[in-house]
Amino acid sequence: MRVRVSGGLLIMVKEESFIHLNVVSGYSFQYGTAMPHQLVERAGEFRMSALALTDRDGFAGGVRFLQACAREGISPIVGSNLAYSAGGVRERRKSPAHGGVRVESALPRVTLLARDSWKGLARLISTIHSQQDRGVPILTRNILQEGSNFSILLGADSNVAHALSRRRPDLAVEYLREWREIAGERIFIECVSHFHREGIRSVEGAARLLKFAREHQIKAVLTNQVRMLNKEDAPVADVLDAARKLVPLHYRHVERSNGEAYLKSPAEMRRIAHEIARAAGESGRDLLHDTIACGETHILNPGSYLGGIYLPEPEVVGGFSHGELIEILTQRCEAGLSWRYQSEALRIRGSYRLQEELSVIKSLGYESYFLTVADIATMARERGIRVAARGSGAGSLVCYLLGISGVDPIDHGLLMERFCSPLRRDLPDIDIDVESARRLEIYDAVFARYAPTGSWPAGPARTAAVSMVETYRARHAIRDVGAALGVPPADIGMVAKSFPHIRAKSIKNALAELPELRDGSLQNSIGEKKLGMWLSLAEKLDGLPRHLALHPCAVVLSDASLLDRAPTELSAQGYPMVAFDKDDVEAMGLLKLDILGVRMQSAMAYAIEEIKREQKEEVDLDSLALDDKETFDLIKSTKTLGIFQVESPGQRELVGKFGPSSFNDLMIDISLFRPGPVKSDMITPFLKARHGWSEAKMIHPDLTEVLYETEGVVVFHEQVIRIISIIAGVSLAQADEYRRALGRRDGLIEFGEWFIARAHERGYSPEVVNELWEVLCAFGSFGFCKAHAAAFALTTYQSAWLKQHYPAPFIAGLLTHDPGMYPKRLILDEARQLGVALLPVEVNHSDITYRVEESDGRLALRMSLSDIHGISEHEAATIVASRPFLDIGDFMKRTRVSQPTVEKLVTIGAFDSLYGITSQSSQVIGRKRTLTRRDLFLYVSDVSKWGGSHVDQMALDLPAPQVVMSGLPDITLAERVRDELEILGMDLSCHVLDFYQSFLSELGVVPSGDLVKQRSGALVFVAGVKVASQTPPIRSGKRVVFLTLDDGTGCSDSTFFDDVQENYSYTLFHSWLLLTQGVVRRTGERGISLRATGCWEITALYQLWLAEGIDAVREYVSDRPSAKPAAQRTLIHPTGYRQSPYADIKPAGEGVRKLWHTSPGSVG
Amino acid sequence: MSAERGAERGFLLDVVAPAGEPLFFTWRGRSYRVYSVLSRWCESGGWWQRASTENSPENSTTSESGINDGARTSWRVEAAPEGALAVYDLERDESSGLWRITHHG
Repeated sequence: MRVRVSGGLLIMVKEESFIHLNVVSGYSFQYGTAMPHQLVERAGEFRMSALALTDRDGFAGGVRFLQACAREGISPIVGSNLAYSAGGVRERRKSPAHGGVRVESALPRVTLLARDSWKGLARLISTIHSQQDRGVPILTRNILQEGSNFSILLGADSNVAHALSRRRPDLAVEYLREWREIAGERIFIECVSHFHREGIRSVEGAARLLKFAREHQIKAVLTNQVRMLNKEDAPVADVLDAARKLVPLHYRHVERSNGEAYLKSPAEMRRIAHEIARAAGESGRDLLHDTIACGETHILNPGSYLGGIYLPEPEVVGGFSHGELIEILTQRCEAGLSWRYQSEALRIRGSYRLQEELSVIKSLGYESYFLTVADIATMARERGIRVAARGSGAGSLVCYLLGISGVDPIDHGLLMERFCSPLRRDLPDIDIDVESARRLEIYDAVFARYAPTGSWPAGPARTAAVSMVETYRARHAIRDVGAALGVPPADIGMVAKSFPHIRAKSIKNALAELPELRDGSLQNSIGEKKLGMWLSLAEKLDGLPRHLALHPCAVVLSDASLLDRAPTELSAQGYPMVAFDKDDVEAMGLLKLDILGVRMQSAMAYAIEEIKREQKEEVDLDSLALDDKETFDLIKSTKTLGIFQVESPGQRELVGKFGPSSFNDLMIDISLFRPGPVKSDMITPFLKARHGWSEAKMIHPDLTEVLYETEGVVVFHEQVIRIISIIAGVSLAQADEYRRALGRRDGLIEFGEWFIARAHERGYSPEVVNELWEVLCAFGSFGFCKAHAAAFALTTYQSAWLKQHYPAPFIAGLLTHDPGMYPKRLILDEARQLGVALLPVEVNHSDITYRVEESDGRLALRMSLSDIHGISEHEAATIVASRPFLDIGDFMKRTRVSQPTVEKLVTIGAFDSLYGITSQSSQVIGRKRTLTRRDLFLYVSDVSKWGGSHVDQMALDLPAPQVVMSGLPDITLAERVRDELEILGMDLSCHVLDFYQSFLSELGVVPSGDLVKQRSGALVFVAGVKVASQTPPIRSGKRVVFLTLDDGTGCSDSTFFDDVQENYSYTLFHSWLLLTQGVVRRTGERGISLRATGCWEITALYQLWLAEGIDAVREYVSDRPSAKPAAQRTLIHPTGYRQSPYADIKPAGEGVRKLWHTSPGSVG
Repeated sequence: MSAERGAERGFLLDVVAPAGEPLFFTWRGRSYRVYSVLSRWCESGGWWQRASTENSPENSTTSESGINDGARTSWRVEAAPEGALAVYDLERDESSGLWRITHHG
């Protein structure tokens, strides 16, 4: 922090200093090359007293800029660089030649500086964005005349400068007159010298502007139109110019002719001032003085824009005054007591806790916050939308009583302090989960209530969506640089797809480290030099913002001053959106609420609807008793596919070992399956103690009550809070502050000293203290919030309950809303194993969604129309509305469905029942031939030749085609399955692997279902369709790949360590049908997995088998190339946790349809 | 920087420029004194073109430190060995530090 000097000394400092008034950052999307904090830090190094940020077209970096300025002790100046049109806004034409996007407007630009008015700037940005339909916003004369709190810099891109450089001083004078009419004395001429050889940014050009200013008695200032931090960033600017304009690099498209537009030092700027002044025939003193004076009059007082809390006003949540709110809240909670608790004793227990929580809420002034969130939860429930709380909010009884959360915090030992405490400054964070398919209904309701139509952009809006800054990561950077360099699109795609979804700055490391990239094939096809330059430029784009997008779930709620605080624009989805991201919004003290769409909630809601429709039963998931034995038996059996949170391969292994048998066990299970517990190895001691193989260790008798539920192992945040509170003798709220310190390196040391001394003081032995300290350290910041686990576990339990008691409707829900990590074909397989019959797509029966139907006296599942590849929503809806159909002609005539779709319907047998085609039709029954799908297919193409599907419009002189028996053999089963995979993405008739069965059994491949019978240590083959490949974080910090294969008898899980990845990772990531060899590893009663030693593509081996027999295959797979793995970096977290840089990263490759799961990574 | 390339775009010079601004230079065996700087400009860019055509490693576009942007500064000066003043354009290649005359009249 530097103190600004005052008085006589100030003059001297001024002489030495300079203030940059025109500076843009990376938040001038695809234009600026530096982030606001970098610019501020550089200004700090230059000992500048103030710095402006004037990003183009908006102000999305504003909060970060203010924060950086506060850190560096620099006074912020804010503004924006905007395109200007004297007339009204013209309709921006989209030019197809440029793909219709982001065509650069040739309009002049001016820079606005706010006169200590954040509010004015925010409102101005919102207003100009509202005038334009998602394009480049344009400042107009009308808008400027409304708001008066700006100064205007007429610089090198202004119409005045344009006129002067065209040698039209008469026009320049005319424009200047207009500007004076609009802004009076608040205009400045802005001189820029980038040392161009000629033109307005040469020394002479700048001097011409300066002379013009002098002639017309306007103050002139000097800026450097900064868009870079360093001169060396110029190539990055070139790439951004090309990417923004969607053109390859060419002198014509690049906006610079040298690298001078960087943040120059005061000395450099003073020299420029003198050079310009000399060319204009004066000294540089006035220019410098006026620049600094202009900067100082525009300094913003940042105190009033960061921090503070702005919750909806009392009248919005049903009160008249703030004082009244606590009464309203108390009344609602008391009503909740009688709703939630049947017995008097429970109500009394609850009211004690309620008093405590209410007094905390009152002391913090958060009444409005709770009432607002409750209001939104109620809005959802009134619309029949499923709602669940997520996160620490479930720890609050108030949330439970208001119906925000569905778990009883007292029953499950959840703490309010973890969620909200008088010691914490940040607003508590409540997230709510709703049905994904109906999430926008809630958005609409929230906007209707808190920002009614017409309140944007001028009115008193209280809500807006939050934005999210999309930044350059590896693949996008590679694509944009490649395009700028004019690389052919096919090569760009090939290189981009070879990389996993890593940060752009790790591209070269990945190239050196990852086995699948090290073979030099990229260098060979692109050329080593070219690839080198391409990738090093791509790395330089790392982290630069690309554009603003709508945050997937966050909305901000505030009082009516929202539009005074944040610039907004309309998102592509039509919701007003603040230009700040969620961290910015929090820093500003605005309440952020995450409304997450959870597909599982939709799947469950769908299942309940199906149960009601087909079975005429009402199911109320929210009032289930949480102790159904059959439900826990299902989970223990590890047949957890489709069950929330416990379906991943790793979780299947864990529930196999653990065998959760109560709701509390479910919370433990979900919490154990996290990086923290994996890292500190909590799982092994817990399982040992749980199964009675070793004794639970409670560390100290005082902690027995806290640690009892988890066999002496610390699993939950809540336990850490209680341990600190008991051992150190502090309140739970204070203990939570210390728990937070555990996650920070500096906090950890400070807290450690205090904790050890304090425990010692209170008489705990050094052994106990040391052991406790080790446990707390290991826990780091990674443990899990029990309240969050409880909220998850409730959904886990509900989904398991549905799967156990209503399998067919549940599977219908899964297929319709696709909530899980697995491809639909695996869910179908699960349905087969659950004994649910599968009925094919039929035009007269299939719906848009998956329906439960009775067939042969039991419930079966009817495939839906919407998974047919290429069918439009409209087509599916028309088919459903026009049923029933007599024949294909009738179908084509009445639905006008496109011919390719009709052909696909024929191919997958959607018309079979209309023509009596059965799966046996391919065989000749007796000597009598029957119609086949092939005949229908011929008919469809005849009809199309005859006149498309417009059967009724045809002239009558040609006879209409008829379905005739061609006598051709029908398609085979193999073709049928291939068609199903292609069209539906699912193998419906039989499992794909069935076709390789004879080969696989000759090789001695073990079916997944029989793996459990293998002894530990056996070397076996398994085969199957790739279901998932994941790279989760694991203890050693190396990259590990988990592969799950399905072979129709169940799933097998194999682990590839880095020594095996070297040779097999390409096959692993890029193939679909795989044979894996590995060593059997038993992990529990039902837990089994393979340590892989190799994997191969089945079809290739199959060809080899056909051609040369089984011995050739055996020889091929036993040939084990040896290669040393490349050294990989390991990331070490502050808590000592080691992690591979590629863990949790979506791997390379691409799936055209979702036939397998490529991991967005995490173990959960 | 190879000799041929220097010849293409002017003649290599010895320049005395202690603070960046040229004061004296030697050209064709004669010493010149700079009497005044008429103008100065900087140019760079076009690295993407050299990148696609280059084949020798010595004037590589990329290096460990990044991309060579081809930055050069030009000084239009009035200078004379003795007698009559004339105008000369001196250009300094910012990455190699070499000077050459690009225009003389």
